[in-house]
Amino acid sequence: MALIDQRVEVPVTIDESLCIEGCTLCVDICPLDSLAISDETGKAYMHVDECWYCGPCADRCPADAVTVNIPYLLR
Amino acid sequence: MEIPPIEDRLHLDCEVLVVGGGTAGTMAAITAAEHGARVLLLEKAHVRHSGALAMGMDGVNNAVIPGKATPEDYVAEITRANDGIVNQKTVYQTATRGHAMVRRLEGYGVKFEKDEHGDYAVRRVHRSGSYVLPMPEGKDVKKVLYRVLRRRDIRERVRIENRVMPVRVLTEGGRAVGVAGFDTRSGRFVTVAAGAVVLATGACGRLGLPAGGYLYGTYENPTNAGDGYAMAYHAGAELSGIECFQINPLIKDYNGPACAYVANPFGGYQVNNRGERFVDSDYWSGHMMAEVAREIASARGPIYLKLSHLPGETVTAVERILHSTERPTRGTFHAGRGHDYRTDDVEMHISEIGLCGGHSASGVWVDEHGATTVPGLYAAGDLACVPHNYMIGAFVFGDLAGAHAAASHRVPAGLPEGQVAEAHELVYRPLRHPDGPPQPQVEYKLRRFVNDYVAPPKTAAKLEIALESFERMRDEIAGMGARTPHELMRCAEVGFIRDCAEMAARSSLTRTESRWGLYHDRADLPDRDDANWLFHLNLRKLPDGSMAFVKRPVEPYLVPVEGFDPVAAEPEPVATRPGARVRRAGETRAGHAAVGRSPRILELHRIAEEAPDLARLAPYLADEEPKVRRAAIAALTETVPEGAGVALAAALADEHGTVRRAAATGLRELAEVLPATPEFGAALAERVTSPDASVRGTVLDVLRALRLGDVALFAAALGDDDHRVRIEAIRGLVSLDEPGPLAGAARDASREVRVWVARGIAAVGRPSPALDGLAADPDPLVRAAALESSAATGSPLVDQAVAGMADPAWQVRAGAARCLGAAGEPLEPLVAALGDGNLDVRKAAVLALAGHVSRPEVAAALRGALADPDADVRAHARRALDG
Repeated sequence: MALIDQRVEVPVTIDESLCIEGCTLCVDICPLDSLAISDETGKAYMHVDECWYCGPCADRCPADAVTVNIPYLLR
Repeated sequence: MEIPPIEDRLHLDCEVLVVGGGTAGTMAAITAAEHGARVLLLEKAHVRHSGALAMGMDGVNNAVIPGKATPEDYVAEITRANDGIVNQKTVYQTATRGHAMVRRLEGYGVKFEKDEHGDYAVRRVHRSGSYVLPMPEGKDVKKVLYRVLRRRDIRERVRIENRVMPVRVLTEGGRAVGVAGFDTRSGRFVTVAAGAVVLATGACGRLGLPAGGYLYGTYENPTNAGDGYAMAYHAGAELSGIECFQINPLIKDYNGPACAYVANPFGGYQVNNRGERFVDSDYWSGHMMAEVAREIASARGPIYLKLSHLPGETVTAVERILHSTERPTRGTFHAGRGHDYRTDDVEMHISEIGLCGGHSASGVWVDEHGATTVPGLYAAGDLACVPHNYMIGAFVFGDLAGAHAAASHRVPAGLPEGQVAEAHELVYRPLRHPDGPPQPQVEYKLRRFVNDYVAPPKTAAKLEIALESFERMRDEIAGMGARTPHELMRCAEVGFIRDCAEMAARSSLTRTESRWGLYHDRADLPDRDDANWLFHLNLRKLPDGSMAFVKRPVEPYLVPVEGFDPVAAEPEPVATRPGARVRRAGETRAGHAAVGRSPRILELHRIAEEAPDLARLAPYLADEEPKVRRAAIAALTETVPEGAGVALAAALADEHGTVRRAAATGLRELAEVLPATPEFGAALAERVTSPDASVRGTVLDVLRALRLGDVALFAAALGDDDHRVRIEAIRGLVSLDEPGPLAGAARDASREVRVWVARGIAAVGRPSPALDGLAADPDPLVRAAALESSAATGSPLVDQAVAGMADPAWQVRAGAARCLGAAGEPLEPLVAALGDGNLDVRKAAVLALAGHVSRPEVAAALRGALADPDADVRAHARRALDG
């Protein structure tokens, strides 16, 4: 089966300039486990397009670095 | 990743195992621990934000509060809503234990809405029954429960394992003895030996595909994939009412609840494209959903949630709740489309289908203690078949199951290794062929078939195609490929969804009648057939792997309900069509060293896990960075050490606005759990002169809730510059039954304040000359509130109300109608108002006349209202004439 590169607009975005390196709060609490820490930058990012746009990641981020957008298909 | 050897596993044991850390699961764990059991709580997400309440909840749908409703009325209501098919013993538990549960939750710190006198502000949302108790600050429900789980006495008995997902319940000699599953991050295999197993895994929310096409844009939390339905089934437990699907009205595309429960008490309602209310059903049911679906498909479609007729401040109050509690991104969605509740009615639609005991009746069959038909196995919450059980029912049955499991666990000697090996194969199979079809494509196709052939309107022919499709997909699911632990989790969930889809199709095919409105609308068998089908339809897996059905009689009612007469009978197996049988079954992320710019926040997160006392948090509360101080306040409200109230009150004086706001939010949140000491009261009162209005408002609100404020303090605040502070002052005075100072506020510059004065006088319930002035106010909303309030003082303003019936503003006419209804004389203007052009004026008139139906001219007028274009007017006329 082919592995293809396909661009996807993911709902949760993280402002790397604000994200606190070493903090994993959003990764710890995401119900769908869709957030991860990037090996390259040490900052959080969305690693799969699986989102209930529920909001705890943004609500609890101590640095206001997380934005939850409505998934493109529903916007 | 590689397939881990079966021997290399994490093995745990416990007396009571709870699977799922949502509403029911946390309560089961807490109760079992309080009964002395050694508890293990497994959660596939993280307990802090998991389950149906991932973010929060805006209210309780079904609280039976003494003085507001009776258990008997509630049981009868649910029996009618579920077309007679209920085991009333189970519903009766929710009815009789709900009030104590509300009190218990309040003791934990969950805030329910109360009036100024401290009584629960129960609302009548449907035409019958007053069971809705708002939680305007309900975003903190899970936070509060998590705090209880981490209390020392509970923590010592409850071990929590987050990110662990069981896939099978293990049984030995027909008894549940544990589970097998895996860690969804490390991929490690996990087995648990348990004396009893409580399944609390929620609904099957990923059954149908939402119209928006996004796999996870479901009505229910998409982590709830039907795990417990599949696990109970494969363990041999009976499931019931699976054909009674969950379908809900919601905001189209956003797919979150439209929350008529929230909007309705504020004056919002659902309308069709002609602006008419159209729902004739009196209570939430599949019949209501059928009306909604019909209206959408008719020339009068689509339908809308209408708030645009309400004053701006009312809409703001609704938004404050809707955009902060259950689904807080609702506001983002509307803003993205440029819509505003003030000017745009919100298009509504119906959800995809799901399975859910909490919203309809599809669930695992349980008795009045939450026990399933498999010894040692329990089900609670949305997973259990206790019709329309909602959040309070989930708490009640979590509590019951936890208590029963703690009293009757039997820790097994060992685990059935054959079943363990099967579970291991089920979990890791996708790693054998990583190039197999990926989960998103397989799941999309499976759920698209569910929409095409299982969603109502159902026909036997469509359901047969569904079964054929699901059978064909069995091999595709077995061939799915995965490369990471996360993908293994999603693949296992597709298996759960397929099991649920097959159960949904077979149950729908077996019940050869239509029932529950849209939930089981068999277009090919449109009639309800009580003679043959006033029975539960239960299913279970036989040892040969096939699905067997049995008709179970409805137990004799505790509360008789007219129109339903269940007959005693023996359980009767139902033959299914030959050929319908199932043919055959089928790296941790590297952590980063803390080198960033805010090590203080990281330290705080660590400390917060250790139940710190105030002294440990103090340096962070005084940190020079506002961000750190804010995080310290978050830790303080999560853990609530002794002295938290005074510390939060001190933080109200912070120089940074966001810190003050965090402290204010924390105080409002914790008002029920902070001890009302004089020291705390003094610390709060000191802040009443804060330059920040939100601080002053919070101080008054919390002082009122704790009953620590006095008349002088509240009366002084009536002169505040900010109208929100003045409103809190009014509420404080009302709570002290001290309406005197309100008279001055009757000339307040803000109409919102004047409306609150009128309402406050009504709450105190004694005549006040201030109402005369308010009834002549230049603002129609104030006049309306004054007229309506005068009815509650025993001295209704009849002359003004008669004049008000001709007011150009509909709000005044409606308020005047309510006043005249209470006064009882004269009734002629009310009869005339049945011809008013505004639907809410006609509704107010019908309700006002309902108390005078013995008078022939009133009865005649109400008979005329039976043909009103508005469904509410028709229904209330009908109820008045019947009752």
